[in-house]
Amino acid sequence: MRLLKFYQSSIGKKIVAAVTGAILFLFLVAHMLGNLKIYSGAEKIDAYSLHLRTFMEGFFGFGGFLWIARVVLLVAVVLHITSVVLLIRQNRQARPIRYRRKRRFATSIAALSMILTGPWILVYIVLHILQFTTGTLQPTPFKETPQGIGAVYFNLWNAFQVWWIAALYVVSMAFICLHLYHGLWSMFQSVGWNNPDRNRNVRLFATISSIALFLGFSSVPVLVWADVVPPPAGQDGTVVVEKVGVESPALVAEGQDSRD
Amino acid sequence: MKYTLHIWRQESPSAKGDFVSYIVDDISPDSSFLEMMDLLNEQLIAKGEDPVTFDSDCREGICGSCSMVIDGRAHGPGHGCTTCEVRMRSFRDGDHIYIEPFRSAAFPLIKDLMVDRSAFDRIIESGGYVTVHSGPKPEPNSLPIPHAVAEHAMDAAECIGCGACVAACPNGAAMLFTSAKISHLGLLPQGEPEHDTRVVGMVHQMEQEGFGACTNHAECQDACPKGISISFISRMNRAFAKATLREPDQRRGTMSNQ
Ligand code: HEM
Ligand code: FES
Repeated sequence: MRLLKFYQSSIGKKIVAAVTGAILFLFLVAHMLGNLKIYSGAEKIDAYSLHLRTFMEGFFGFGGFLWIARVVLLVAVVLHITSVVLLIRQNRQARPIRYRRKRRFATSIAALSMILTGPWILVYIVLHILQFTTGTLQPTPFKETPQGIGAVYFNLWNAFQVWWIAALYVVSMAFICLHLYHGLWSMFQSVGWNNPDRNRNVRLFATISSIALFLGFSSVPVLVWADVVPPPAGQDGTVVVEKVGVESPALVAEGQDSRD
Repeated sequence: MKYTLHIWRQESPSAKGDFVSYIVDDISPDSSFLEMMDLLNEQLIAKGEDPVTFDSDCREGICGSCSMVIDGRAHGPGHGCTTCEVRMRSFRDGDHIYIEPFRSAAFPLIKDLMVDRSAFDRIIESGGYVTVHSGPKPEPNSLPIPHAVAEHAMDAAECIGCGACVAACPNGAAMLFTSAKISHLGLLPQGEPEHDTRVVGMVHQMEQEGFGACTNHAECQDACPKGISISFISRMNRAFAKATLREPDQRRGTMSNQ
């Protein structure tokens, strides 16, 4: 009952958007740090991917921990979007007649474009999962390890050989980070943790985190595309590999070799 | 100085409105915006036309009556001033000036530039009061208030309730007004007994009136003639979350339920 009353007000929805946004932000930080393992080589990043599934395997089973994290993130995404959609609806109704002369003085491009960067992120997340997690979309060669999970280094390296895939990732990261540039400051304000003494630091935190996330995430597509990251074992960068099916026994065996 | 004014004219709440252009000449740069409007109205009356309806009272920035959106800015150019405090020297000779009413679903238009802001009064009625001792006058110094706290409360109490925050907010939200009113009482010991019911009651009424939600653009703070800070909104959010989620103090009538 109390929760319902809380959520009925726009302040409640705003706080739910802020808390779920914070959860998603923490996920992004972890995800980016994971991605940086690509610079330690194929073995390290593929082992990390496996580790995410074997973490606390004794208790949760193979991939169990990862599934719990996925459910938490999915719930956060659903609550985040539901809350902001309800808020946007309320806001549309609050100004039925618009100004002919509309000018803005204090807000930022990031704040004004939340409603555009948000849906872009949603589309991006779906495509991204279909490409690298499930392998449903395979514009470039894709293979799995014997454990039936994507061979991270191989898949990333091949995907980002294609300039427009790399570019699409960089643009999407720019949008996510623009969303966060406003969102990370906004969430402190929304939950009531902002005040004049703290505001400067909160702004600084939002600026630094969003720029750091952008650089960390987009370095991977850029450096792979620029041939700074070496090709996976058994593949040389200049040859365009033809599309290989997931079931290809030769590649599965090869994937195994590179791990041993 | 000479200006071309494009003013929103609307006969009645239900009539269709539109911009009508007027040229005003021989305006002193030192006249106030409302004096310029008065001159226009005198001309209109002389021509037998309907003068432009707008709100004003004190004409010195303290009553909060005047309410126009001038060239896309609530209260017009400058910081920390109401429409009545704007001087015509803020415009250049020959400028086109667009004048619109405050736009909000919760501020229904009455005529031309005049809107009904009684939604604010209803928000105040839902919690903007304190319990007072009704016996002999209490000794003033019996309730010491630290200077910093008194000043902080005064910063919030500066709100004149003009509604510029609503007019300037891209979402038509009344968060700055409501949070200022909640804070100026809530920060003081006199406002302590109703602290939680005040926050819940006033926020609830604000939503009922059809105001929008905050998305932290800070346009309200920029437009506020009294420079009220959005930190009061942050404070209100925290107070609202605490007041709604905390176990209720009110146990009367439910004590025999267990
Ligand atoms: C990685 C995913 C995401 C992260 C980390 C994230 C983060 C955030 C944060 C921290 C806020 C500020 C919340 C507040 O102050 O109340 C926010 C607000 C918002 N988010 Fe997201 N978000 C994500 C995905 C999305 C998606 C998929 C949508 C699409 C519908 C979306 C739409 C919005 C909107 C419209 C706002 C409100 C903007 C405002 O207050 O002006 N977000 N987000
Ligand atoms: S007329 Fe009183 S504030 Fe402008």
